[in-house]
Amino acid sequence: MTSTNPALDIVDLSVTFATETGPVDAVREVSLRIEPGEIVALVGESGSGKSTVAFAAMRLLSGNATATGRIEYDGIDILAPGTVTRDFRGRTAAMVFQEPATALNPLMRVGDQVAAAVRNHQPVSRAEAARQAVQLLARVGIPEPEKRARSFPFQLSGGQRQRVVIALAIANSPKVLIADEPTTALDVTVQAEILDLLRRLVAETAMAVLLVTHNMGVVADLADRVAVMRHGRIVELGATADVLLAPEAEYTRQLLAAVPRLQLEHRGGPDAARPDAEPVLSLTDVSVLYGRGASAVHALKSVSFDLRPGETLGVVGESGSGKSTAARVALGLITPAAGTVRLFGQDMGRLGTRARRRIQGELGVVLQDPVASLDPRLTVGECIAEPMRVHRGKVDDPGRRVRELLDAVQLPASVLGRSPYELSGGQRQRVSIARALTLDPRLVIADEPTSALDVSVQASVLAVLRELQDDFGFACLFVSHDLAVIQQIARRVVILLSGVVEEAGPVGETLITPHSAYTRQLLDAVPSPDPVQQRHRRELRLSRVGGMQ
Amino acid sequence: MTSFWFVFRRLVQAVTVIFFVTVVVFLLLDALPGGPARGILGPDATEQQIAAFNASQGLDQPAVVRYVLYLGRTLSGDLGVSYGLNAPVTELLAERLPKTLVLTTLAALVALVIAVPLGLLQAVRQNRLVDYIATVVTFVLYATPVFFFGLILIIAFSQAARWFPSQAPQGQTVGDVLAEPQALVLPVLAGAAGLIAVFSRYTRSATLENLSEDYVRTALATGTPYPRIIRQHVLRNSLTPLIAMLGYQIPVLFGGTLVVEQLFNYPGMGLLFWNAAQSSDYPVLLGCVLIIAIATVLGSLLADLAQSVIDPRVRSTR
Repeated sequence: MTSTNPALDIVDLSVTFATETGPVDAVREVSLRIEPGEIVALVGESGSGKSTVAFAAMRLLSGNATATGRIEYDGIDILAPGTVTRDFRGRTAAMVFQEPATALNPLMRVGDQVAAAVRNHQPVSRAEAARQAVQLLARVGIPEPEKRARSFPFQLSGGQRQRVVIALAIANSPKVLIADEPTTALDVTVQAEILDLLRRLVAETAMAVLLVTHNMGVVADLADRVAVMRHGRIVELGATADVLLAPEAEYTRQLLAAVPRLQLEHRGGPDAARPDAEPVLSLTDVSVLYGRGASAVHALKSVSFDLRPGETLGVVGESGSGKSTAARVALGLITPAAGTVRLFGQDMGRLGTRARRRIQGELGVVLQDPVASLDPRLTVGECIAEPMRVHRGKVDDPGRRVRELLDAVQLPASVLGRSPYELSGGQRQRVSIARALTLDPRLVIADEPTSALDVSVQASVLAVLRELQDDFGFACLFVSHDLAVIQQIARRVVILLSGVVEEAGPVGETLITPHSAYTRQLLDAVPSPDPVQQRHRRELRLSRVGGMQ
Repeated sequence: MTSFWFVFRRLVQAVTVIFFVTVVVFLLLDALPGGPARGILGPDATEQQIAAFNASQGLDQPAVVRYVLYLGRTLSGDLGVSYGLNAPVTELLAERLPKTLVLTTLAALVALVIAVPLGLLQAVRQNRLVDYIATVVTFVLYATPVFFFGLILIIAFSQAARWFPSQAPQGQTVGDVLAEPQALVLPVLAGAAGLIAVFSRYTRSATLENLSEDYVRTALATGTPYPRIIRQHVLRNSLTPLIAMLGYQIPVLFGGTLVVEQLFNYPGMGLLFWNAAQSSDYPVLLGCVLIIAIATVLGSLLADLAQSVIDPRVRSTR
């Protein structure tokens, strides 16, 4: 290592937001240094201030933020007045954003957007910029770049859109790339490809990368060093292998313990299903179509599975696989185009509205977004009591029931009169679970119930759910994209690919020795938070991918 | 292919809507007391004269028969003869409609030329003095009735300042009308006033919405200068919904013309409609309503088509 300036040197950075309720310190005295060609990850849970550091480093903070300290690029402090020139953004530092769906102008062809970025810093003709744009698209691994350059963002997949965002960022060969959760919105197989791309670009260009993420697997896969943030401070900073394998800070240890890890070897233990019991839910050759005529899309194609009393069945798939559609069919929100849905032994297609409603009273639902699924105008107590108002007379003493449930999901009685808005994400999801259990359901349908939560919160919510299942004995249809979570909570698993059951079986076997190539690919793509293991897994995955081509 | 079917489907819808409009208008007019004979022949007409008039106009037949006859004639291009003006309605409309189109188009253009930059400026300077002043002015314009604003214009610029005539051009043809541009100024301004308010508010909120979009942040992060972000991204994306709204504004435009033409004595379709309404001139009223209905339906059709040309996402969902 030479003694020249680091690519990015953040010294004692503090950021304060002026809010209506007074100043909020988002970042406190953070210092971080990144050398050229180095990838440093900033990891933490929501509210830790990690994204604020990234936006401060781009000078893209909102107007109510005040940053103090120093952020030096090659020795020049961009917080000092007059130092942010036109060359700064795009040429010195560039950024990749979390949400590729909204990061691109929807009305402009992607090639034009990349060409415009080129022309921001290079005095070239339109034709030359367009030529460079195609080259850049090729460089970030977009197939048929000449053709794709003429596409609009909505015509590309999520992974391709993120590649375009990366092309925009590297258009003017920046010295530092700031990536804010670059793979969070993507499927796990796409995530692996984008991480491969970033790794290749760093090797080719010696860019320095500040990688903001909440995913320890991503850190293990990509980062040379890692800084763990909590409450706006860095609590631990070191080489990735040191921090992830031998964490020194108590918080890092807790965080790592909460990360669901994919088991790679058979743990043994009985898969205690009750194959003789009548299924609570059974789908037989269910097909669901969206749209009509030639443009119709099969969301589900001849899908069949059973769920037995007291059992948890995991439904796994990537976006567009039909896993949420399957949950909606089970809930009776979608009437399938073909096939039968039997709920508690009754054919839902043959029941009248009233009988269906009565049966649906035996169902509980937990959805992904606890903010959107709780009515903000009701108090927590009213939210939990709501199903009792809909299905009158099923519970003798609603007041007592609400208090029991609150206790069961380990929330204090003091939250009863509060608005869901005053609770944290994890607390809200517990309220959702309590509400799902109000009518003592025989089946709970949970659609990505922990995907919007931080890992430590996810761990506690999963623990509560498991405990309640032991106490109440309900069956659970658990929809998730996260294989490690499914492995923790489910007994059997159904893997969906493009609306078709790709593979199904006990979790212990299916997720360790899968028969289908797709399941293998899915498992291989999950990054392990153990850097040593992850390097091995990556090499294995790339050799398999290479062998397939 | 798909866009052909889209246009075809929309045209079928349009024809259906227009058909129902004619039914509703016909029934409403039919339900009015007095009838046209009294209006045309005057209060001194005898019962025999009225009966003779009704028989000669086919008004003594049942409403359904009258409607079917009317529809049949309409489809063959005959909208009947005006009771009061003693001329075929088609001829009247052919003379008056182009003049109204000139007035409305000019008013809409003037409104756009003023409102779009104003709305953009307000968005970029959100919650600053310029924004507040423009908001107050446009709201006052919006809240002022057209006839009142028109009178103020006449008093200020025709009576007090004597810059422009208080009467609109009286020429027979569009060419004659355009030959007197100074006489068009006040009617066009009166027609544009309310539209300026609507369009500028719309531009302002569409621009603000686009300014808060993620892609603006992306453009900033690639080093795009702010003025270029406005020009290259925000302006175009904000104008898309405005173009769509323009198509839906056509009934409002015609409604405004009605008052403006009456106020400035402009011999367009609005004045024709106004006078026909005063004298229960059925054929003229139905003819005007038909034209407005067609214009409204075509306007929303064109708005949808224009939007699909500008916004690729709309194009793909058909």
